[in-house]
Amino acid sequence: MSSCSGFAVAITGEITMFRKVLIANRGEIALRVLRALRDLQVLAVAIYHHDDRHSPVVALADEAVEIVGDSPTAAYLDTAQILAVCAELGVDAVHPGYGFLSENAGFARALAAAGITFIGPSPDVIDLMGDKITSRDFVTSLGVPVPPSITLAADTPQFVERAAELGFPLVVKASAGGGGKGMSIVRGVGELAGTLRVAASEAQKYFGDNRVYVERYFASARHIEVQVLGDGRNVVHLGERDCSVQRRFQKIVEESPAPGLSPAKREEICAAAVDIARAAHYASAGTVEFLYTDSGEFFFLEMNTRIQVEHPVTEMVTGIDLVAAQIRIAAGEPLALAQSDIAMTGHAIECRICAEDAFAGFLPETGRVLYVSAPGGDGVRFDSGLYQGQRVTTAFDPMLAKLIVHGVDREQALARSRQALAGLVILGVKTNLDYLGALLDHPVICAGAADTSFVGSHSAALTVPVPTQAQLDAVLALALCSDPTMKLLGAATPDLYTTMGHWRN
Amino acid sequence: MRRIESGLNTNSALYKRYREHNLAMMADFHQRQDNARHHRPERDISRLRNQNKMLPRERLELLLDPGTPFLELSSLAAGEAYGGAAPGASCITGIGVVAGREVLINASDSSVKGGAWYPLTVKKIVRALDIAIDNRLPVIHLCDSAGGFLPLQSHLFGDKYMAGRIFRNQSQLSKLGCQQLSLVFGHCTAGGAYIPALSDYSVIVAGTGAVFLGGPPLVKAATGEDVSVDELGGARMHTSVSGTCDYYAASEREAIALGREIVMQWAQPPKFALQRETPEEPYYDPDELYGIIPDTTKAGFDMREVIARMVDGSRLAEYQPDYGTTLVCGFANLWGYKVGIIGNNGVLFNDSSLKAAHFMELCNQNRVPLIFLQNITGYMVGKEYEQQGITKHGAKMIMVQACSEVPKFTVMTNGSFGAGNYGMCGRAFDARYLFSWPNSQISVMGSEQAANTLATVKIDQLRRTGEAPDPEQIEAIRQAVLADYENQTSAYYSSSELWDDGILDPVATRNALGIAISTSLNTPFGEPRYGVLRL
Amino acid sequence: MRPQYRINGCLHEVVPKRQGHTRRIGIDGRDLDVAQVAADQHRGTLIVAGHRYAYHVAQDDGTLYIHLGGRHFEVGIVDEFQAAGRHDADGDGDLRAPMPGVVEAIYVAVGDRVAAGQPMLLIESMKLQTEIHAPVAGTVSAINVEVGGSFQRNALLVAVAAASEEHP
Repeated sequence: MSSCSGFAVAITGEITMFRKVLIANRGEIALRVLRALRDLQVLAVAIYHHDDRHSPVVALADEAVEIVGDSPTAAYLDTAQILAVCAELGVDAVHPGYGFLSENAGFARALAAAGITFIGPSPDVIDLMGDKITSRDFVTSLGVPVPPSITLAADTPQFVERAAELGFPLVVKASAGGGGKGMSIVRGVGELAGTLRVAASEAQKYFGDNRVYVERYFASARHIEVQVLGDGRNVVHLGERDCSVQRRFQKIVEESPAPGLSPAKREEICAAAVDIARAAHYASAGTVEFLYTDSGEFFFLEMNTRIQVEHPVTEMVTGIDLVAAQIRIAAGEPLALAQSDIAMTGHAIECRICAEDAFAGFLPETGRVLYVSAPGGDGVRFDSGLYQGQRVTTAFDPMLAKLIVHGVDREQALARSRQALAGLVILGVKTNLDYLGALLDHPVICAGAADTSFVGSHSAALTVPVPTQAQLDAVLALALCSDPTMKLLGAATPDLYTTMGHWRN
Repeated sequence: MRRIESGLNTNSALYKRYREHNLAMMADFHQRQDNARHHRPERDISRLRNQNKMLPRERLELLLDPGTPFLELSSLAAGEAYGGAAPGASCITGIGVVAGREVLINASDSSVKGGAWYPLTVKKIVRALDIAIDNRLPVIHLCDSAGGFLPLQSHLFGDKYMAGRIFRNQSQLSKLGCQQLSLVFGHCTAGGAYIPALSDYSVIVAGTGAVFLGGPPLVKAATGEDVSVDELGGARMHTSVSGTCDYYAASEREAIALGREIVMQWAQPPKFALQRETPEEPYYDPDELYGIIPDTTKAGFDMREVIARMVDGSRLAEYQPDYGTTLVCGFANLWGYKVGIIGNNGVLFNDSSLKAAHFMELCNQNRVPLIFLQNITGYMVGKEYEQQGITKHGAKMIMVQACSEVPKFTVMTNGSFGAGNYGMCGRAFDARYLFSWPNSQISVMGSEQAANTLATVKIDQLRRTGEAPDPEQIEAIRQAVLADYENQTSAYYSSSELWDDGILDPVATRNALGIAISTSLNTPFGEPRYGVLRL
Repeated sequence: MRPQYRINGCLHEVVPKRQGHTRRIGIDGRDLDVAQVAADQHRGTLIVAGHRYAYHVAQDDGTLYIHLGGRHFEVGIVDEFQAAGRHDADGDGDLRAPMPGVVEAIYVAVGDRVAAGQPMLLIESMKLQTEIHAPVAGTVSAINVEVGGSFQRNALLVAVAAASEEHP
């Protein structure tokens, strides 16, 4: 990955960097955090489930401890176990990455009670922003617009009537949900009751909280989010990211800056994000997500109080190491950057590489990573925790790696991305790599005009490209040359016969 | 090694005449072979299809490894017998490669009279198993036969080398450590049941495969018991109750897949390390053979020209080039293998007989196989030659040849008449493989000579009974005898009778011999040892 | 034996014909000359009928994963037993898993009569729950999973004997 310059900072006498930090995560983000810790010369402790024992972070960390659980995911969510490891190894702080316990206020509080720093905002802020209803109310009080919605209890008698008044389509969201999970679209009043029931049940199961609310759904709007950094008093923003290319609320491609956003609008959205973070006395890295409609309106969606998957996009256009910044802020350092110190250069695009059959409904794929070859080149960054022999199962998220490419402008970033995608080889499990290539070739994407409805409405155009006869011949010829049975046969057969070939008298 | 200098003039009238004649002959040969292999009455094909069976050659192509050759043996067996009712003698034999291993294939041709065994079918199978024994080859049997052809049972049952010899050979082959696999696609009745039973491995196809000493009609007649084909000897019963067969296959394709998987487990014997170099195509074009081979056995040709179009790089280290010039011999490489070649270049004289005997000793000493290229009308006769001991020199040649410990291969390139056949390793002398060219002829003496002798005998007979024939009648008798004789000296007749292991197009000889040599290396060549040589 | 390979659901027959300086192979009946220069077991250059291609390849079980010409291919190796049709052909009433996952709930039992479209199972994958419905009307003849059990894509979950197959 291209190196990001750190802060030019004056460290005052009282503030000391952590001695040892535990990475409460796995995969590519664990490696990412490890890199930042190395840069800051902090000892790194990795935790890993048995399924992840061959993961690169385990070998690279200064110490590594195996954790157990009923399922691999359960292990990484086991607060008590992680606290025990921290205590045993004398850990000063924990970086939770994204997902897992990164937005779990209870975990943050438990760490605080044990005298360990949680690298993230305070538990109160996590609670505030983690609850979709309270966060919406908070933001509204600051004058930031939110999508029309109702937040009555779902079993209130007027609920259905009030919901219908909002106008369809609607989206049902779990109050405790996030990361695109726990959302369902309702297109008509007939589906509403059923969807509410299922949503409440899923919310209870996945988030432990059955509260749901209903919002007007904007099928074709853009998802613009703003990266912020705060130290509890001051807040700066590091520009916006456009994450409109999504399927089923999961982001596929993110870029910065957002194409076609006027400087005035950019100013407005970023200022709103800063206002929200400052009002919350935000201390860490965070992202404020907005919906930006084609009529120029924007609405607050939610704030993510953690480092995000797509943070490298911002790192590449600003040259700022966000993870290192999180760690410094958590260690007590004040923000050394003023807003005027932050400049955005060029354009960066990130593609999320997932184990899925993107041309067939994005159904998850499983397999074993047999071979990976990352592309090089100017402005190419490949964030990955992939290792040879890795089993890709449904136990974890299907995202395998991220390819982030920077260029002097959007056109160059796109061209470099296409080239990098074509040169990225992952064998052993089906991925969306070819789909991403088709995506970045599509005229709407090239024009920077995609909104959140793009993937859904253009699935017909984004089809498996038909190989040429010559390509197919080459693949089949290679198949014969690589077929282990045929290779064995060739080795076992006396060469007189293979040279004579298919001869009959 | 020096290359043979070819003196062939491809523009000469003789070359062109021979070429035209031979191309026509080859076209005729290929047509006959094609007919024998594929030409079947529609009802025979339909019958197989209705039974859900594949054609035997379809089974073979699925069984054999892709990209490998198949050397079919005796494709024209029984071609001149039974009024043509049994092309190929209703079976297919040959050398092929399965799962990387050289195997001998013995397949019933159920598209011919249901695969019934004619006397020549038995002879062909016995010969194939003899080849397997001589060369230590594993065998795959593809069984699908209606059983013995009853009308001719007296010619296929009682004698030493008749049907029983098949099972004797299977047993001896097994004793030598050579694996046998049977794929039972159809009925194996009576003696035929022993083929899978004597095989180390067997696969039986459900619904069509059956193994029993007596079929339902025979059982009913013998004991009154009523039983179906499947109950009596079908796939399920034999693979789960009697243990006579090892694998149950739901289809023919599955049987073949199972067969290949089984062969994949077989150990391969170590090969004798015959001297070998990188193979090289002949320098001269083998296609020119068609212009070298005469259109009559009376005309000769320079055997060196034939050798030049068969061996690697057309190179020959000729032995005694200036002595005994009616016999050409020397070392060459064929498909990389070092071989000793002996070819006729005229009548055998005293010197050529001695040269041949000496050279064969050299090949035995050098552990090199012998290839005999026959074009022999006989040994020289006459007082001078007898006094110089031609008979005993010929005997020495036969003794050394017959006692040779190296593999021998014979190709009948044109004439094979009289005692010359013996010295040059004719059928009786255990060549591992013996092939004929379509133009070749074989008999105890030349046809003109024989016809005259026979006609004289017949005319004398008539005269004794008082019916003296006139010149016209004499000529007619002579012509009739000649025609009859010529028919019986033709390659097609001898191949039909299995006096050879098949007729080859001359240009196919190189590949056929390459394969033959490869299969002959499964046992070490023995120490040279001969009987008494009358010196 | 006829090597067969499956790409995007299409079967192709690819046979070696002859080995020499180059390799002659037949693809669906057409002859081509091929040469392979392998850098290691995964990478190399393939020359097919004069065109050069950089390739990557890895093999796992019966699948070859290939990267060639800037895109990925999955090639299924058809083994001889598959080609022989060893596996029972799918009946109309066979319910196969659309994706790997876990069984959340089973609504029917073996022997139940079901209508076409009737919900049979609830499965969960990637935090998405999906109901699986009977493809045809008939009787449940087999349930191959249990609640909490996990399965791979294409696993045969439930078999329904179509009404027309039932004996009177």
